[in-house]
Amino acid sequence: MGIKGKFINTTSIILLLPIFGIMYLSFVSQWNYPRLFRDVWTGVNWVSTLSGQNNIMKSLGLSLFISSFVALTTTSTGFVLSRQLSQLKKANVWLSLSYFPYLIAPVVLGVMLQFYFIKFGLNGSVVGVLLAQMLFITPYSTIFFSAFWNKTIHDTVFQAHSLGASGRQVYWQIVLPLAKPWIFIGMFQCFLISWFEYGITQLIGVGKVATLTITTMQWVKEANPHLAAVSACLMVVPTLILLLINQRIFLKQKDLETA
Amino acid sequence: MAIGCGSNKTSEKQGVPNNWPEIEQKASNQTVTMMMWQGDPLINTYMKNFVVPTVKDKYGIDLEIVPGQGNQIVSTLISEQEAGAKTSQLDMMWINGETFYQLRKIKALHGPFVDRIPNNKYINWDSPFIRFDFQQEVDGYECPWGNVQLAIIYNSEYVENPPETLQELENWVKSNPGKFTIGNDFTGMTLLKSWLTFFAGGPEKIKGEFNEEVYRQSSEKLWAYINRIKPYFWNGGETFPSSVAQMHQLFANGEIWFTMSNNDSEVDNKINQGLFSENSRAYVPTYGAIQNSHYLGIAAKSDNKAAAMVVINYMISPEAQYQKMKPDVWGDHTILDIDRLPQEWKVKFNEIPGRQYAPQRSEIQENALMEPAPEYMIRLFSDFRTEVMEK
Amino acid sequence: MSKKITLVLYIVITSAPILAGLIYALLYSFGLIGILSKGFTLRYWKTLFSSDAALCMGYTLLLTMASIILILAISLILSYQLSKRPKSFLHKVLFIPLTMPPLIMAFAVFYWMSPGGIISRFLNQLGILEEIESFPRLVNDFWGVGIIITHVLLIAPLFTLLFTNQVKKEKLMDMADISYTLGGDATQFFRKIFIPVVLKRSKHLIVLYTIFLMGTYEAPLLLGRSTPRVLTIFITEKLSRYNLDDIPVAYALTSFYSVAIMITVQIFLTRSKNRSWA
Repeated sequence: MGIKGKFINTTSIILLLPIFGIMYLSFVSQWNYPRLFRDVWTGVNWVSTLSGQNNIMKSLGLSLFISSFVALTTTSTGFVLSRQLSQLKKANVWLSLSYFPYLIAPVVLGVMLQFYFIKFGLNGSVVGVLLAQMLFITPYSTIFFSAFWNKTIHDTVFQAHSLGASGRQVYWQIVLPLAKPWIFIGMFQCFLISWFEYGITQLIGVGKVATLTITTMQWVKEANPHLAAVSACLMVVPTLILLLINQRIFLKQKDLETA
Repeated sequence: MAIGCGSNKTSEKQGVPNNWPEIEQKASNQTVTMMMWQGDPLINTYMKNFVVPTVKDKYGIDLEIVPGQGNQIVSTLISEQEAGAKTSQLDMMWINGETFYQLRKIKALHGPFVDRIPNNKYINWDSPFIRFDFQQEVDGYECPWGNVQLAIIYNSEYVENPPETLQELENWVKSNPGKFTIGNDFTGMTLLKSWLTFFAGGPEKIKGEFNEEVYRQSSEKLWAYINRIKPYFWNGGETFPSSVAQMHQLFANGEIWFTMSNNDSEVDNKINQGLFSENSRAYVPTYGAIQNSHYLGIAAKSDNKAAAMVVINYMISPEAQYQKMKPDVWGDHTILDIDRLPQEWKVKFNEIPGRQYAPQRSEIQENALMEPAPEYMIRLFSDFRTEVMEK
Repeated sequence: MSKKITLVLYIVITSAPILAGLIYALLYSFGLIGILSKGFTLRYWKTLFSSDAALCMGYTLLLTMASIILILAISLILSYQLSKRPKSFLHKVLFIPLTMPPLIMAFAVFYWMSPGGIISRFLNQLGILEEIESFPRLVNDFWGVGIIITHVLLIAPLFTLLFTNQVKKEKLMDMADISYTLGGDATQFFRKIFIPVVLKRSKHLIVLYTIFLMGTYEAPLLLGRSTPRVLTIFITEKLSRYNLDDIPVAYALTSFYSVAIMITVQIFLTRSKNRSWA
């Protein structure tokens, strides 16, 4: 193995370190310097979490709900919106409206909108957090699907129409099957953006909507890296499992993106 | 008792019944949201495992705790006011003097309410450290919850004779570079207030309302002093820990040999937890340390004031105060006048095990400094950034 | 659904909130609204360009540039290596960082690299590190090393994957063979053909991620210093200070940052085809 092979292997190991790090931290306690372990490994952090002695499992449930809901709504809205946009003359100009909410730092978006959220009584509530997340994930989803509505799809649809297919038939029998992998990946991406979100959730949720990121941060602030690590593992493991079961999702994604 | 007496009329208007049994009745099955600093595991555990389940059992109240320090409480309530929110997201909060000052200024606090809660009768209002919060009469707008004094914690394995004066500290820091620092947080600023008091020429000079001239003169000396020894601070004084938790971690790792706490008995519970080495000790230097109380306030726009009052009444009950004062629970000194308590509680309080590693309260009481007016704290916070951190 | 309705709905979703937010921030920054408002003033905007806010903008820009350059350098080299070894283990591992939220990555970096962290403990156990303070300061440090590393760990794997795919699609490695037969060597190919082609195809992606990095929040929250601060931290801190005069300054910076992004989007993203965003 040459230098280059070593380079690749070293990189692989480095990329694994963060995840090993959080797993390790979740299995130790009383971590006084310079000890690497106190006595032995301990499952105490996990046991207390899984038996509901802290708020982590509750946050896991809440996060799952929020992210699934956001993923479903933003994917469907984005799909429909992008289709309509793609039929407009200056589709790209219209689409550029989506870039802004998507690109601005969510926490700053929250700063700008906090006033209105309070005004409408939406702060500190799950509904408020859902809405806040949707405000920047829907534009993302619109941008995502706009790449799907390329010329080929439009030509296919046009052809089907001219062959006498009804609007509904075209949608269900031609467009949706073609879009299936896109929808799947789009939904997964929207889920992840919501799943990863911290800033706007903290601001609009006033800390009351304790998603997993919020809870993790709380343990970090209390200088309890071990429960923070358990919470972090619970954030990473579901996506990791999904990845192991179906690496195709990610591989496919690349195909789509560079299509 | 010099607590303002709330007229019943305004109280009714604010959604609180006139007598206690009705208040308790109205409180049951309500949810109360409390915002508090959650940077200490023991305090969080006390709230979560003791207060929350007890108020649920006794009064059917769901106490929901959300994290947020004083400045976040202020900004949350200001935003609500600006947006004209009818009800607040917060019902009650843990507040200290500078937060109290800001919240009073923007009229975000409900009150006066303290004289309406039954356990008020046990509160030690004779103590100036309880009756005045940063030189402000509390006026029934906040209820005392605990009383603490800042103590400096050091590792006696490396520091045999901890510095008693600022001159000694300067010498020590210079001959032990990298082992001392100040947190850029409430605790750090509380230490700086005792230094400010020293540079002002003693507690008498800094007493009363904020005095620009006194601040200017004494803070000039303070910044000059800190900047002189800053290069010998931890990390060359380039950065400062942003929380007590971070300070404690650096201390536990041996990176620094001093940390500090706004809770004079904290060193005991940190050693008991195994976080600090058994050589850790706490002391109050001869130039003194600030003693202050922390309080509980109710948001003016809370729609659950009755329930918040019931929770507060419980939190200052002998039972809750006793539990809180145990060194292995939290070690927070009570604000109750023990002499006035029923006999059984008097006995219990007197039987609380003494501190092993921290100095006894009676020993450090004579070195207790009063909190100066809140503007001093606010100015120190912003000037510490411009005069020290950014230089 | 009629096109008009969709379009209205679309604008309501994407632009109305931003516009409303921007108006609020602007009004606040000029002292026209807010709890301490005393009428129109340029005071807060002046502070923005004279105080630590200017430092914060410069720092954010530097940190972003340093991160993106490092990300590009690493991703280009890795994708080149990967294209030569399509079956390597790295290919699988590259996906793993994509499952990590920025907050968790920053957390992991902190506990690996801080003086009390895992690496330092290892070195100590091995007897290499005698004292904790001899360990270099890589988190909460002046140069933002920890923050940059977090950015690289989060983004470089994604860039590598996308670049590798570009290379496959463009059959770029076939060109390597051609260039060898014409007497070129590997380094020449990498520098003269590989890098320019990949970068050109990924212009859009690079702009997008540069903008993202300008708004980085979680990494500096855990790994940054009390000063200088990045933009997002500056804004959120100024908003929750006891000094209420700081609030309008926070809104001034918010307005400035938002408008800067709008302009960037117009210049770089609207005209080009929307494609290889990720």
